[in-house]
Amino acid sequence: MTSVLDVDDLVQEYPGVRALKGVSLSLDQGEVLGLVGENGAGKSTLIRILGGIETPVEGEVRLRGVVQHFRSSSDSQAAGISVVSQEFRLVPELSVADNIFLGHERTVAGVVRARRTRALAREVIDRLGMDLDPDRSVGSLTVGDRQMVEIARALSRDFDILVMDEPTAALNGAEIERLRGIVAAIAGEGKSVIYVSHHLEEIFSFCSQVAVLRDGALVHAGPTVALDESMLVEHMLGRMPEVFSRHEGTTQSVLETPRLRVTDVALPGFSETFSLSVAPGEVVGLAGLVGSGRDDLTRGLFGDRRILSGTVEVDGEVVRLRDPIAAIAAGVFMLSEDRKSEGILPHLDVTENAMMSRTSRGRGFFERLVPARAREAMLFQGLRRTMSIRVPDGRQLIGNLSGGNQQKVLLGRAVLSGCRVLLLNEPTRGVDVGAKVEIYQLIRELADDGVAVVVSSSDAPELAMIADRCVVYFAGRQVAELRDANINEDAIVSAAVGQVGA
Amino acid sequence: MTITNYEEREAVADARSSLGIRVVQQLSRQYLLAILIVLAFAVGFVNPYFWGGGNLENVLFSAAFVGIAACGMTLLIAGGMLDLSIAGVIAVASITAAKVLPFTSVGGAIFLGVVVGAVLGLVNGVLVAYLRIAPFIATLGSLYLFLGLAFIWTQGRVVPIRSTNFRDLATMSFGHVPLVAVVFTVLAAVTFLLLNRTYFGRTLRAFGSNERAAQLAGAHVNRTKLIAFSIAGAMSALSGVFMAGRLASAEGNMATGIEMSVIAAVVVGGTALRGGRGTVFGTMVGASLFAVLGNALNLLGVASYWQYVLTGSVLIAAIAVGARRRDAAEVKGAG
Amino acid sequence: MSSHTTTQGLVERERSLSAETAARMDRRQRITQSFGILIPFVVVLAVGLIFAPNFASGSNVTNMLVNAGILAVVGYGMTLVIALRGIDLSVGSTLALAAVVAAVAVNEWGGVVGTLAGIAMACVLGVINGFVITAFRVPAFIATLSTMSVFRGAVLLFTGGAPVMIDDAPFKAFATGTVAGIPIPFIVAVVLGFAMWFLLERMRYGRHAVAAGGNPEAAVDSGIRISTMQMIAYVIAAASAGVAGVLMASQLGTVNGSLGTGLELQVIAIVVLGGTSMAGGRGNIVGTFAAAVLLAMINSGLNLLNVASFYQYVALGALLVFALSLDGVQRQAIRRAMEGKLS
Repeated sequence: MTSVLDVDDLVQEYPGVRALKGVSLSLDQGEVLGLVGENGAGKSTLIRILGGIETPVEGEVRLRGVVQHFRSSSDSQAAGISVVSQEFRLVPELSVADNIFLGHERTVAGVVRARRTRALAREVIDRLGMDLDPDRSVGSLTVGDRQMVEIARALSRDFDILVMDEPTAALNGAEIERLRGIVAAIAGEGKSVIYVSHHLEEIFSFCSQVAVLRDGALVHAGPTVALDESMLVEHMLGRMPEVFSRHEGTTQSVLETPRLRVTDVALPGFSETFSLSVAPGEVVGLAGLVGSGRDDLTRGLFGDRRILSGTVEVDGEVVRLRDPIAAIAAGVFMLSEDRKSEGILPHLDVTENAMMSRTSRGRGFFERLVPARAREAMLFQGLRRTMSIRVPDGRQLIGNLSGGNQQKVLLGRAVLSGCRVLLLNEPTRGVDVGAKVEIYQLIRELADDGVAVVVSSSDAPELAMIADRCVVYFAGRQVAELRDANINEDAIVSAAVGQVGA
Repeated sequence: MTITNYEEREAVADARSSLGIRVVQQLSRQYLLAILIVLAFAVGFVNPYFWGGGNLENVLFSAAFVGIAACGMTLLIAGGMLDLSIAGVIAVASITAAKVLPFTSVGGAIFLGVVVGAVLGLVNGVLVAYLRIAPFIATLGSLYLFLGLAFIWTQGRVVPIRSTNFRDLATMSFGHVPLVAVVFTVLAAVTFLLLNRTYFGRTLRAFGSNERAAQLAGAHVNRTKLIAFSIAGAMSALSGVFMAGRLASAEGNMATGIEMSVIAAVVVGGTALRGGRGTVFGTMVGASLFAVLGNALNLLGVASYWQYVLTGSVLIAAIAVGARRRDAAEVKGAG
Repeated sequence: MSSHTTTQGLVERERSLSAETAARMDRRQRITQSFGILIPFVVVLAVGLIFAPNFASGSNVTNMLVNAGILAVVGYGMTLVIALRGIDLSVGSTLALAAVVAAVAVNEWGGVVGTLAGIAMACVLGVINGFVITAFRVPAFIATLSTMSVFRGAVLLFTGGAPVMIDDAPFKAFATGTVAGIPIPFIVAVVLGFAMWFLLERMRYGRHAVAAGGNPEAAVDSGIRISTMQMIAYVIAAASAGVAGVLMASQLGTVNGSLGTGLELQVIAIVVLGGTSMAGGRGNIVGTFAAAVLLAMINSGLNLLNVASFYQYVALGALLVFALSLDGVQRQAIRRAMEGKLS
């Protein structure tokens, strides 16, 4: 029996990183294949290639034996692949029905057949077991309902293969159960499904086969009945050479005033409040899936997200973190996970980038208007030396640096801001291995200087290496707090996917 | 962090070598200046009257009037913003100066005009920074607001300027170099310093480059936008006040359509619309280029309407070419 | 496991609650967008009737309807362009060029050919705009700011700065004529308005346009080509300016190169006032129409009160700024509500 889908030796490269290193797998008719792997393992890349958004550097994609060359998402859709994407491809101003049929509307001479569209939409919605008015504008729906509309959109197309990328991120138990029935029904009709999820229970209840990606390679493929969750997690993790010697937990005096204390802080979109305490010199890791609340927390602490209620104290003083300016004045600094759109100032040189948030405390009137170039040049040289920033001179445009060096410049910006609390989101994303270790060292040095560091990261081994304490979040709730030897990848990943006490 | 002698020496050596490299780099990129020189010679070849002292003086006057306003515009565009209301600011500021001249000194009138310009610029700043209206549409609205104000104030009539001192100042020349051209040059230098050597300029370039990142770095974005618009307003006003002196009158219509020339001078001069960087020298060359073009059309006896066609086309061409060169990754990571 | 169910219960409750609130807000927003124009409309009408002499007279009403009609027609095209997150500042110059070309053609070959020539000229200008924006990737506002200048220069060169008189009597009678007492330009505006409304609300193109303006990534994902949509929109915008130009030529009987100066401001104002957001998405044709009538009423009222035309500049500028800040404030309010209420 020819497989419905064959992926042969797929290789994908981005500047500086091999996202897929020769992945091959096949999908049979009526099969539901689960695809798992940590962030950065290559799942999204594979899906983008199947969806026609990217073309691989090497390798083939074959549908029923025929080689495919997708140049756009329309090509992929026309070939029978329908993708439920992680980011919603919905137009808020259009109705549910219109969104479902966007791009393949039912028309007569260009005129939309409204009644037919509504009826068809209702059919799809009913199939999903939902109670939704197809005429409602998508903009007024909750995130969970929008996710269902996104799924409905994919189901409304003519497809042979359905690819679902984290389709249950915003759904509750009952809806997930319903979805399971639908996926089973689709498979029963002879269609195939690729199901990507971090929720391992779903992999076992939805899928007949499972494939595990790790660091761009396929490390396991086989029936789901042949293993259990812990074996799956083991496949996902793998081992990394321990170059950095773990700092053994510092003995913290319980009576010491925490440098950062977060008490019952409520954030928009989360039903439970957050509390956290970080001592001076402590590195606290925040783990959890995207959307678990850890990123919203760090942003809330930097004034980038509204804090609805609760208190935040820095060195015992209550602070109001209205916006980043207020946060920096209170001694808090944050580095975003998205360096390119929220970190670097591409047209400015590395020195100016580093000096951007420099504290103006203790400066005279004239010094507040005109930066002292000589002093800044020296400060930058200092940064360059202590952080091993590889750059020919201080006037180099930051866009010309590698990811790791850019990140170091941004860390320099944080240092020069004089912050006492440092919030780092994904500090080594897109950074090569060598620079990673250097950055871990820098984080440790900053902590030794007394800075309270909070690292929010989806890289479990990273947290295992640098954190004194690790708090794990799941769906907006703190589900675990790990210390010392308990901070290991297994514990972190298990807790992050909802398996508490594994 | 302690700075050692080692770092200090390194920094100085660094600065010296990179300065040398940068000067050479800059000169090699001045193809616009080359175009200007070639154009000037071409026109002079076709009509030698171009080189006449009086004619060159006219060219410099044109360049200066557009150029002074273009300095302020350079700041705005480097910050990713824009001001379409120049004609209105010029009108109101000049009328103010003209009306108070009989009662104050020349200096006082100029000062008042500039202050009025700064205030009008503040209005623009508030619309953009605090009401969050896109700059081009906010200043389109304020253009008509200011023009209306000017017309109402003068009831549509012309305000004559009778003060000979003022007129002399505006038309004064050193040899064949008008005072206004000197003012332009000085202002250009000041603008360069503002943009590249002050915190204000750094913040401006920062949010012009990436507003989100600048905001997250704690930059005072709103305050800087306000100040930038205010400075631009003041500079437009200064240009207008001198214009009125040369025309010996002020009225609502005196500068209609000038925004095209000013924006063109800045963008063609090399300051990208997307923001993040500005070249004041480029603005000087751009202003001169369009002044020469306009003058050439006159000398060649071509209808002045061609100027509209030319300015618009050159602007589009400059941006289209600029877009293509950007794709050749001049500034990496700028998305 | 039990904690799992209670959280689930909480989540369910919160979702149905927020769904209700969101739906309520949705209705409220639609109402304000559609009827937000009604109140100023009634106010201006009342003020006009009370204070302006001859406001309700036949000749004044005719004048208002003619001006409203011409303005509305240009407004339809601009509505589409703004809904696609673009802008067209060159409509005034396009109108002038179309009017002049039409006038010359009418004198030479009669009304029908003249009308077609004018509209065709406008379409060419629209293609130029679309090309500069999609192929050269020049941002819309600066592209159309430049073409505004270029087209204006072109029409001034063409006329040499002198007016062009139209000799063709039937052509001139067109825009000054009435059907059942209603001036023809107004009827044209209503008919074209209905056509545009139908295009945007009932046809596939309209759905695609909302997608392209509201969430371009979603549109691309659905196979919609954004640059094609944009090109079509700019051609429609120019064509509508062309129609307005022909109507104006017919109404005035004589055209010159400075027709339509400052038109872009009025048109943008009526589009924004009419409820189309500058952020893109849904275009409100009915709102544009209503705002055009509103503006015509304001203009005629001011004229009757012998208010100098300069005050109209101020009024227009202030109106635009007011409409825009409303737009911005409304969008921010929605964003904040969405942030706080939805999970």
